[in-house]
Formats: sequence, structure tokens, C-alpha cells
Amino acid sequence: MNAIARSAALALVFTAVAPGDQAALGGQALDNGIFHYSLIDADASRGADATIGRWEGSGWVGTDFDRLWWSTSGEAADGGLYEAETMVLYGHYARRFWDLVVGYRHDFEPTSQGYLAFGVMGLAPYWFEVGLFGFVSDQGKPSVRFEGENDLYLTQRLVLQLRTEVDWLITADDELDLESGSRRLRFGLRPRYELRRKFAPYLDFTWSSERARRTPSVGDFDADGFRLGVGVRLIY
Amino acid sequence: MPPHPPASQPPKASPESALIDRRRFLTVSAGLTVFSSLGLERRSLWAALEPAGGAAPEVVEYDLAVGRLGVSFSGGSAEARSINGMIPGPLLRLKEGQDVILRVTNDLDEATSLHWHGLLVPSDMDGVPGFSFAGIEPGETFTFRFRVRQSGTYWYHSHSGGQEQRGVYAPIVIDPTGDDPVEFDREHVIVLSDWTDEEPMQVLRNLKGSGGYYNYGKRTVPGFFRDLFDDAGATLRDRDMWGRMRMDPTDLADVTGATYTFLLNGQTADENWTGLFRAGERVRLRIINAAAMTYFDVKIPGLTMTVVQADGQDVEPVHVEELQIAVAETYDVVVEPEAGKVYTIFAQTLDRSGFVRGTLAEREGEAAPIPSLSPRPLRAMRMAGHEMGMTGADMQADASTPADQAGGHASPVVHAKLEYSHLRALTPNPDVREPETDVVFRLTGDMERYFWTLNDKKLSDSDPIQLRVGERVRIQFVNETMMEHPMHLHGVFMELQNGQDRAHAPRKHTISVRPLETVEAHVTFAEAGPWALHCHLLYHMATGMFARVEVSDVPVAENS
Repeated sequence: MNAIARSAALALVFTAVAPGDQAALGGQALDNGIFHYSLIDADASRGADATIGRWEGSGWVGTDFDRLWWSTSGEAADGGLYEAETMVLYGHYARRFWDLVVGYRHDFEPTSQGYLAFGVMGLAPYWFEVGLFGFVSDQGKPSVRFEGENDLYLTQRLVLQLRTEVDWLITADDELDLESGSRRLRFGLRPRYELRRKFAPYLDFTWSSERARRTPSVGDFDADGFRLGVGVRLIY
Repeated sequence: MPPHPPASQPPKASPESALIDRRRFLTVSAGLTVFSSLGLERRSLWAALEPAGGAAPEVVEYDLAVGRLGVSFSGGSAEARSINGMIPGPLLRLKEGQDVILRVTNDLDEATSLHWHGLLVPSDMDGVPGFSFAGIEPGETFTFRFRVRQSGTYWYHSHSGGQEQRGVYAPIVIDPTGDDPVEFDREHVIVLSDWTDEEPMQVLRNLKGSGGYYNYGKRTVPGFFRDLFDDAGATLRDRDMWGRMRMDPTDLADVTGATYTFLLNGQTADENWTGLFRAGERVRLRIINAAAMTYFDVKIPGLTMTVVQADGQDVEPVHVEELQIAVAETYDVVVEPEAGKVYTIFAQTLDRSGFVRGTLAEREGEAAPIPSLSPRPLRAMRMAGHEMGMTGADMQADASTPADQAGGHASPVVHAKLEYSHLRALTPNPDVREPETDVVFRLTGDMERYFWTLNDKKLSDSDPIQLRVGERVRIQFVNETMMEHPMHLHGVFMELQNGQDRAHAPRKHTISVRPLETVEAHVTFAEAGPWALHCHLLYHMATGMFARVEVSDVPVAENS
């Protein structure tokens, strides 16, 4: 809860000091106006006995140096959510290509849990978009996550995105009913065709490995193995 | 002085009402007669703005209004901003020594301004909001008054927000008091520009989301393998270098033909602006790059261009087949078209994402073949080529070649492409002292986040540069980015140190600094006040690539 209060306070301060959007081009002295960016990838794949929908969204609002970042991701099937998470982070442009971020993450599924989140995001050499995050759950359980993406242009509009995500529990998490160690590993190929920069249908090939719960139950959704999804990317 | 035949630049006639506005635009004081041809003949419109012949009047007055205008440059309809309902706005035809009164009315619902680009005026008449004055609020009129202290080709444009991108720009031609050193029989103003139906704020928003948003010439994986096949070692070294820097060698222009329609005197390539000539005439083309973001490579197949002026200042004639004109620069060239021939004025963008053309012909309705776009350059190759072009031996050779005079000698040197090192001031600079003060501007920025800075600071974070009237200053622009930056200093001409002797360093209001290049210029401010220095690429300026230069009128101490 501390984390919520903290990110809320940061967001408030942040909003209060920022000049209006319109001002950014309105005069020479107002070169630090507020902009925003949002990206949503949503796709569907055929599971063993159901259609599985996934979404990932992220974005920011703010100046070049101080931004409020958000992200959300999740998975649904048969009208039920299997996984859903959101993050709200305050980020400061620490040095060229890199932002330091701190904020709050909330998981709605598989269990409802809050986390203090902190980390570094940016553009690594050879054009890898990366994020390295540390989390402490509201039960005090630490974990880390690495995310990486790279866009390979096959043509000017056909872009192959390489993706990876590693979630690692530093200690066992009773809420999640998981032992310490890798919680999730994902490697993906996501070719998209940019009909427009802001509208691109894509295919999603993902190999993932999820750690099984200590006490498996019948209804568990098996996310291991390959997945082929069809989706669309929207940017606003 | 030979009489100047009427310039014949038809302005963009998008809305029918614009003709009326054009007729209304000019009020001439001091008992001048208004040309009877006003407004009736499209081709004569700009010429009509020239004050009546005979002795130049002491005072000329113009009324200018910045307002909205519906346009359809791209085929769709969009709302532009204009001066007196025209894009480009009306030509201001002035004469050296005149006193000018310009009443500028704001018909928009946002603040506006007009800046007289390249004109030496008092600081409070320079038209830069936050520097010279507060700007012109909606419905208000601001009166600019200044004496014209120079001659040549210049331009004027809004210095407020994205208005310049949306159409608020226009040419200025100033006739000298004495004989013009350039011999010509006819002249045409050529205003190049870029238009987008997107609002400038949207363009900037797109760039903030992704610096490569408008780049459809990126390196591809198949291209990588092709290059590997050609030369594996060089390809890996090259990709390694760019990858580590996280920069894109194909980023030749931040905003490209993917959204831009390119215009010549407010007309698209299809509309084909046409300038007339008669057999045997020497035709002076006053080329102005009023684009927000676009460098153009200009050529007229079949004609050698003789460059006689750069940024409004006379230079010793240089013969070239092609010239690159940076954003905000002007070049005057003289061409001698042959009877019975038709020529294409071809202006392709630096990144080859588009072009605009016009035509030189003896009658309307003619067209010559349009050249195909040249190969798209890559950063590394361009830089290498430039360095070769700037080697000492080559520069010496160019500098020591007596520039052939206007009469024309047998087989003058014709350069394939104009380089800054070719430019040599026609009249000597009065101040050739060794500079006493050094000012270094590192040109910096972050293409990923899309903001641009000077010495790593945005205008809003930076301290003003303090200088004094009469102080001899050496300015160095050190470009640490992989883009060209057309650096514009208000209030004074920069004497570009290009290998010519100091007395003949060309005087420039805008100096294009190439990627990773360092350029030196010397200046002596004659006029106190706050002056603007900035990159003239609109979205670089708007995101912070801007500095404030405060020139105090406390004279330089004797012992300094």
C-alpha cells in the first residue's frame, strides 16, 4: 500500500508541474511540453479446448525527462481471466537512452497481489529495447523480471519483432503457490505488417514455460509450449 | 540600372477568394500609384507588389495579415495558415535605404509573429516572441519599422509554433542602391517548401513516439545479407558501429515524403510552376528554402547555374551543375536558357523521398522530362564524400582559381555540386580581426526520445550567451549528431570560415553543419539586444535546439 501512496504522490506532483500540451510548439521557451504515447497488441490463439486471448499494452504521458509510464498485460480464455497485471511507474530520464523508474504493480490474476516496482528501461546497444525490474510483493517476496525486444525490418513495412521475458522469484511465494526460481520464460517471434505505423496486424509465435504450482489443481491452464496467435497492434 | 522585367511567380491559388485578398493586400503610402495590373493577371501578381518605378520612396508601408486558408496540396483538403491569403505570402520588394513600415495583423485565434529572416534590424523589430517582443495576440496589429540596410534575396516567416510549417512564409527581394553586380535580364523567385496535411503538433507527437516514424528507407535484413555478401568485414564493422551508437544511417530526414508534399512557389510538381524567359536572356533565379524540415538538391538539366549570391550576400560567381540548399538558406543563380528549349527545375529532397519541379520555358504549358530521383545516400558515404571534398588540396585549388567574371571566359570551372568552400564574398568584410572571444555550440540531441539541444541543454534549461557590441567572436558549431543542422543566428551575418581569406569569408545567416562536422564562423554584432540562435529545422527548434544570445551595448574595453 505504501507503493500505491508513493506512486500516487509522484503522479500528483508530476501533473502539477507540467505545462499544457498545446504549449509545446507554442513558443521557443516552452520546449518541454507534455506528450503521450500508447501501444496495444491484442491477439487470439487456439488453445487445447478454448480460444485464448492475450493483450499487452504500454505507454507514457509526460515530458522528455519525466514521464508516467503504464503497462498492462494478461490472458483470458472462456470468458475468464487467467492472468492480468498492470503497472504504473514514474520514470526519469537518467541519461541518454535510459530511464529510471519506480512505481506500483498490481496483479489481478492468478492471485490479487500488489508490488513495489523499480527498475531501468531503455535502448541497449544494437537497438534492443530492454527493461530490468525488481519487485517486492505486499507479502515482502522479492522477484525480478527482464524484458527485451528487437525489431528487424524485413522490408520497410514487414517487421519481425524478437521478444523475450524472464520472471524470476528470488524466494518462494506462498500467494502464488510457487517455489523460488524461474516463474516464467518466454521467447517470441512476432512478425507484423505495418499497413500504417499505427496499425499493424501481426502473428505471434511464442514458446513459453511456466512453473507449475506446488499443489496443482484440475482447472489449471497449461501455458507451456508453443502458441500461434493472430492479432493487431494499435498505436495512439 | 537595367529595368527589372516583372518577376513572374504565380502564387498558390487554392481558394478562389485568395485573388481578392491579394488585391487588397497592398497599401502604398507616400503617394505611390498602385499598378493598374494588380490582381488581374495571375502571373504579374508578385511583380505588382514592387513599388512604382522611378526614385525609391523614403518610406514604404505594407499591411500583412496572418490568417487561415483552405488548401488541397495533397489532394485532400486541409487548413493552412497564410499571409494575406497566399502561400507563399506576398513578395516584399524593397530597396536598400528605404524605411519600411510593416503592419502585421493577426487573424488567427492563436498568437503569431513574423520574422524578417536575414535582415539586419533592431532587436525589437526582429519578430521573435519571447526575444524581440511578446508576439502578436489574436486580433491585434503590430507595426514593424526599420531601415533597409542591405540588398539581396531573403524571406520572412512566422516564428510562432508550427505556423511556418503550415504556410506562413514569403520571399523578400531588396534591390541595391547602386548598380547590381549581377547582370541579368529577368528574374524569378523560387520558394521551395514542404507541406503536410497533418498538424505540426501531430507530426511532433509521431516523432516523439518513434524517431523513425516517417523513415521508409530503413536498413533491412535482406540488405544486411546483400552487404555481407559484398564485403563481410566492412558490413559487420559498419553495423557494429551504428548499432553501438544506436543511430540510424538512413535517417536523412526526420520528416519525409511519407507525409510531405513538396512545393515550388506554392505549387506541386503536377501543377508545374512555370517561369518564362525570352531567347538570349540571362535569368536570375532567387532560390529560397522555406521548408520546415527539408533540404533540397536543386538542378536544371541542360543548364549550368552560376551562383552569384548566398543568403542574400553577393559572392564571386561559381558555376555548378547542382546545389544543395539547406533549410532557411537562399541562393541566387543566373542561367542562360537557349531559344526553343524547355527546362525542368528539379528539386529533390536530400533523402530522395520526394521532389518538386518547375519549368523554365518561353511560353506557358510546356514541360521538359523530369529526371529520376538520384540514389538515396547513406550517412557514412555522405560523410566520407564530404571529407574528401574538404581536403586542403582541393580547397586550395578551388580558392586559387580566379572565379570567372560575369562576362564569361572560355571554359570556366564547373563544379558538379556546390560546396561551402566554393563561396567567396564579392565585397570584403570590414572586420578581419582575430576573434577575442570563443563561443562553442555543440549540436546535440536524442533522436530516440526526439529532442534536440545545444550543449546538451534545451533553451528552457540553458543560460544566455553574453556578448558585447563590437566584440569579435569566434563561433564554433560542433555537430555531435548524425543529422545536418541549419544553424541560424539572428541579428548579424556569420562570416563562414571556409578556407577563403578572412576578408572574403562568405557572410551567411544560416550555416548548415553536417554530421560530426565542426564549422567555424566569425561575427561582430553591431546591434545590442537579445538575439536568437537556433537550428532552423522546425521540430529541432521546437524541442529545444535554441539559444539566447544577449548582446550588451557596453562597448568592448580598450584593453580586452
